Amino acid sequence: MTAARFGWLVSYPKSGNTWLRMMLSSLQSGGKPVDINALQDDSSVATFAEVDELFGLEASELTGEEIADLRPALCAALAADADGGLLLRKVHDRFWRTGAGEAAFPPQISQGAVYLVRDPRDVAVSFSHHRGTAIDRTIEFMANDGAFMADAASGAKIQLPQPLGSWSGHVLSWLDQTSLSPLVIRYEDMLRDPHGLLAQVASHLGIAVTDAMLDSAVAATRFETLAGQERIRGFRERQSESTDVFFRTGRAGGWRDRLSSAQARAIVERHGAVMDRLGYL
Amino acid sequence: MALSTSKRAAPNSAMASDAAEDRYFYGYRLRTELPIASFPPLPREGAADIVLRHGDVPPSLDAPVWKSPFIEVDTDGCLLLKASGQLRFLIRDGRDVVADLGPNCPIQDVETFLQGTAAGVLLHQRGDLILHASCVHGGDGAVAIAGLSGRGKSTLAAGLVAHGYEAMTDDICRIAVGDGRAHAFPGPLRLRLWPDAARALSHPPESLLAGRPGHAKRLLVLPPGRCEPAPLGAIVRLGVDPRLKAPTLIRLSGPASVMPATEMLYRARLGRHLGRREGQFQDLTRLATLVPIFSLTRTGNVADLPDLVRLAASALQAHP
Repeated sequence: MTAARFGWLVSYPKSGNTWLRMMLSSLQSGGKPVDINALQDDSSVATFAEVDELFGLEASELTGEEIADLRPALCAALAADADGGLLLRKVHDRFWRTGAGEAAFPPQISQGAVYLVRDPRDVAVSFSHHRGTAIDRTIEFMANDGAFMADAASGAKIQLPQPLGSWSGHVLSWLDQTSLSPLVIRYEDMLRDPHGLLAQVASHLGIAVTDAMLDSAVAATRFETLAGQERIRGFRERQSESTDVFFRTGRAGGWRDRLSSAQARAIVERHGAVMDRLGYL
Repeated sequence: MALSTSKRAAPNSAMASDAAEDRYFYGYRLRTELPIASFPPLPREGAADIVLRHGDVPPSLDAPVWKSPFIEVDTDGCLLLKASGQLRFLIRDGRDVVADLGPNCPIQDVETFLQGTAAGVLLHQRGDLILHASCVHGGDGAVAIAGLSGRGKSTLAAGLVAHGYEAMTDDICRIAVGDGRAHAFPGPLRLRLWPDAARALSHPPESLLAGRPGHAKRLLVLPPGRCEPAPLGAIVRLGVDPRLKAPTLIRLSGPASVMPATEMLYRARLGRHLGRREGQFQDLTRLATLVPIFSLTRTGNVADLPDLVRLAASALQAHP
């Protein structure tokens, strides 16, 4: 039996990763329609329940540090358990290492990584709706080098905690590490040319495709289609505290109507160097 | 059994020091040399079913047939549990537990893993049916709240306790099936709660006992209750769907009521490595013919707890 290899779909939250995952899901089925509520639960590397079952110990009784140290062994166990193939995982972690210096995304069992990035001013608007918090709070969160997703300090979580860091720190952690060479894609470019970008992603992750399959996958996951499904049946991944639908506008540059000039300025002051590097300034 | 070092505890499980005390442990008499306050005390008498004592435990087993970062199982079903750098257990035959504590091992760690994985291992080794469930007892019987980690089993159990139910066990629920009835056995006198759940139950987290050092979970300490099994009146399978506006309770029927079985059984994979291959699935199927099973789906918002308590209580009252 050949162990599976991971295809990491990485982004800071609200940067188009769910859309990309759905395009890939359609692509892997040859371009079939996607049921947004029927996708395999592949957000984050693993759930607490998966760790319980794989390792036999109650993961919810482990400290954050103990869970972090397990990460390489967990990836190896998940890959060995998956019976070959490409194991796509949508993750929001920054690139990080365990206390012993091992990469949280072990290169020896990784097919590759795709890093999706979006203008942080649009992220701030979208993330505020998603979290159900004021935009100023979100801007503070995006500046916090110690920020976590699914931080287990206060309550029960389904997914393992994911260290995020600040928006800039997140981008730099992935762009400037050398153990995995991610394909870097801007959300704005994917909106302009989904067919072309999806082809690049497939090639990077070793997924064999045809032009017709790419066309079908793009057509099956148009924004209107996904938003329409959410209108009728809801979306499991929408958080209960969200103040708007998950598939909200699906466009770039909306921040111009939603951020005050002071808010936009605060983001540029904190993240300007990285924004400039990505062509957002 | 093959151990990689010659340094091992004597295998005579009937022996325990005079200072050992007896505790009620999921229906068994546990004789323990370690002070384990989380299980109800019993007067010391007769033979023990399970003996827990101090001793040296090797850091690894020779040629394990299964191995994870925490667990090794050898060909005889003897299990090494490496709970932390300071705490190892050697568990065999469902009756003999040796605990090797490092100089800085907090007693909370011993209690945490003894009422968790170590208990699950002992019960699997004994061939018991174990649900991944918390359980409370009402006037008419017990209701087991089953579900994967993070679904809110302990929180709902604590919510039912606040409404007059008696807590029976948390996370691990031993079930015996016989004479056309199913019985649930009491476990530890602790419910392990995350701080936000404790707050939702009007228990300020700082007012509760701390769990493991460096861990956020708190312990709701319960008064000693029954030391005998109770008829199981209902099983409620707890799930989460953030699309819901309010929790829903649905009676399940047919084979689907216990599928996927790995969401109802406690560590089915571990059980398989301890000799419980088809047996645990057959026992679960038999249980489903004796006890009504419900799906209770949460919204994910902790504010729905009063509704969940009402629905779980109604599942018990609906029986038979």
